[in-house]
Amino acid sequence: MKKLTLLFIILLATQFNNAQNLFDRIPHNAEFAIQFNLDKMDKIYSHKKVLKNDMWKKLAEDMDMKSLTGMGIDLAKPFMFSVDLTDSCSYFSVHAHVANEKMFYEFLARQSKNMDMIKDYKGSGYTLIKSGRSDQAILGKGTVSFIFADLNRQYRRENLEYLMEVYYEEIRDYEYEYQQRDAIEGLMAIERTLGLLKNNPKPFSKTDCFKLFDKTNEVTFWMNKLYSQLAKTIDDREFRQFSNVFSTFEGYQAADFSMDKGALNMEMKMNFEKDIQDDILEITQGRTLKKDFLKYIPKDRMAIYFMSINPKAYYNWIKKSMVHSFGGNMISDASLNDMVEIIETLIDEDAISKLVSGDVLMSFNGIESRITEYKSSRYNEDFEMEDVIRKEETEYAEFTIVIGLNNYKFFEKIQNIMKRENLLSEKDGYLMIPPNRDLKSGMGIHMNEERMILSTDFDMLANLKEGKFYEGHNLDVNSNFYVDARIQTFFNQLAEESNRYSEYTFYDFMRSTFDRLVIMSNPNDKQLSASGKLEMIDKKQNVYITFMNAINNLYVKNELKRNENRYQFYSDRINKLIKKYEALSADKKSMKGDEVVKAAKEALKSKEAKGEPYMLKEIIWGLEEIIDGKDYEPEYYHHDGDHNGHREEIKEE
Amino acid sequence: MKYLLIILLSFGLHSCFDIIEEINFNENGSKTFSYKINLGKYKFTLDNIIKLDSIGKFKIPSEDEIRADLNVLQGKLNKIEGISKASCTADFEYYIFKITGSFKDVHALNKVYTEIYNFKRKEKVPLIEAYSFENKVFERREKDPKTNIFARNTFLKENQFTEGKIMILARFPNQVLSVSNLATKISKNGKAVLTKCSAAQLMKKPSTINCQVKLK
Repeated sequence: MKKLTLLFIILLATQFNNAQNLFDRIPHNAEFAIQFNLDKMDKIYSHKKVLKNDMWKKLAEDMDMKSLTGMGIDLAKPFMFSVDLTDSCSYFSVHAHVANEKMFYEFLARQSKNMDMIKDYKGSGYTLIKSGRSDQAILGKGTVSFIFADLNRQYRRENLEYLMEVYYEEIRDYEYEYQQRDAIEGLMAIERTLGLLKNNPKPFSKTDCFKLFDKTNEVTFWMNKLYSQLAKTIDDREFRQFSNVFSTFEGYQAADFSMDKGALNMEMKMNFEKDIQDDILEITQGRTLKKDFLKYIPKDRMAIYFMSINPKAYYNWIKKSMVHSFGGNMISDASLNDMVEIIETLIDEDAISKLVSGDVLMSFNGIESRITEYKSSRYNEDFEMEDVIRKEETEYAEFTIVIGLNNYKFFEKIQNIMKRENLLSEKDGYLMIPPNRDLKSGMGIHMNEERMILSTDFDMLANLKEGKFYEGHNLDVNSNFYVDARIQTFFNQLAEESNRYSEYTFYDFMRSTFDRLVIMSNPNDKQLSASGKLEMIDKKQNVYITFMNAINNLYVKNELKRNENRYQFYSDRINKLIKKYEALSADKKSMKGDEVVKAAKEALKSKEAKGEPYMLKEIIWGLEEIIDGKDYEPEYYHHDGDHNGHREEIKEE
Repeated sequence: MKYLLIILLSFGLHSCFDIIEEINFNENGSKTFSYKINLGKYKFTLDNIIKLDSIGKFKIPSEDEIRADLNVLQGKLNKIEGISKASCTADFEYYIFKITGSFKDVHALNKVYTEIYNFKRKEKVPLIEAYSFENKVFERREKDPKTNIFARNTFLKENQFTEGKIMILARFPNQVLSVSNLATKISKNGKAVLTKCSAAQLMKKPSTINCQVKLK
């Protein structure tokens, strides 16, 4: 726990710093690295100001400090986290600059009773700080590295005894094997770090992965042949089976984030191995989005996924990927190649790859809901039945998928078969897949020579026969891939519907902080690359300031002033419902309703409700049942008794 | 009723419906029956389905067709000796289907039960003796799984038709002394018994609802 706390603190602290020297601590074959340029971030929002926020003040208080600057970490210099997955061990490291070594040591000593410090550890010139068997930091030359090691399961199984002999002197004081194992991991972590500090001929900053970006902004991460190594080191046999699938994506990826006024900008670059890179470039290059597809989706949709690819190149890539992924694992490469050739002989490859145009638009328009009334049976203790009217809210996702077709006749034949076999039915000028358990709304299908439209936007489908489409789209991008998610709209809907305070605070944080996310590819770039933008609600302030303040507000609402805010939330909901009830016509009011409203008003004034606002939830349920007919009450009550006549009142379900 | 149920449930409506069977032996000497299927919770889905011609091999009956079928059934029930005032109704606003009527004795009631079961079926079954009432002992029986739609219909089974609620209710003019089924409850006034189970239980073991009721 202490270890996690420490790691967390360091991570948070470094949210605030020319980090090239930290790269020297990371080997060239590290799979993952992330850099927080706290120096740049500090210019946007000084860490001294940030730490004055309630959240950080409370954290400092919990750690018995006046301010987190008391940690001794330099919060205005870069900070890094790296992952190095070797065949024997996975190393997780946090690297930071130290402003004051004495303060730093004192800070660690406060966090751990068993703190130990060895200066000039084994003549390295660095100080080793240890607390416990496997928690250690290497301090020196103005920087510190926390490094945690985790022996890979298989390596441990095969080499633990040998390791125990090698490290006998250092671990002999530990009684149990798990303690000895922890201690070995700690020692390996120390050796690894010291080895890199003494001699790292090819640090991470010299790798091709790092060189994807000439210049970095506030936050940058790099993935260096991560996928294949991940598959090799994860201790799961089933997962390892797929290591070849992962190696299909072997390569480097990096993303750089710059914090601007009102938006977080992202640039992403991908460099796969040459064969893969050439294939992917063939899939994407020269393609542009079929903007005409937009007329099938509303302008105010929640999210769209829009792409245009070369279907033949994609088909060829899939074939190669399959060979690459499954060859050697299930059957030999040679057999797999032969099988692919057999399939190619049997299937008209050109015909298959020309079925569709490669243009696809998927849109999520939002959640639609319909309220329906139904009668439910209820009985009393003498089993006399009565009908009660209940309301059932049926929600379904409204979505539209538009697929460009090259071979309409092929799909028309499938459609005809389905029509003849009554799997599709005619409805309002389009075809309908009937509602079912998994798709409550059913789904409509419209097809013409150029495209197929699958949708639950039934109004749009019905309008197609009259030639009516959605208008007003203005998507001015020259790209072959585009994703757009309206975060604010989505979370706004969730927040308005939520009656749970904990959920509501998160939804409210999301809707009041983030506006929308846009990601698109850069087709003119000879390298695979994409750019993105996370737009904030506050367009005038730097995204870093907005985010840090929003996180602080969330913390205050959820932790420091939880009760007050929860009371406010529930009382607002109740007052809204009371107003709704009072606006009802006399015939829709009832004695029970009047009583619940009266009880709600009294509860709002009570000290108990302010102390325990959770109790107000039940009042909301009661009011909703009376006003909206929502069914929170058990549907059946019955008088229970056994066959000997012994009777007892119970409430079922 | 079973025909209706099968059709309507075949479209994925495998949970949360109610079937309520009420047999009343009233103090005034009258004897009435009522079978009610309530699919109201699925109004949204049913409203969509009812507009379609067919789903797969199932032709979707229109409201008028369903009403016409119910009228035919009503006619058949009223022709049974010992049955009067039989009525088959459909409420498409709430999707409630009801068959009610009066019976002279349980033999007539068994004929009603068999007629409903055989309605619209090619293979008719002989008289199902689902009820008996002799010497102040009432019995509700489901002996043969073949006579139970839930046990027979593999479509319903395959579609995990499990959560429908079944309520079997009987009222008597006299006090109930004992019931043989541990799951059967006696009302507070001691004059009614209720057996509840899910469709899944009924499919697995039709005798779940079997109960012998001894009266004072």
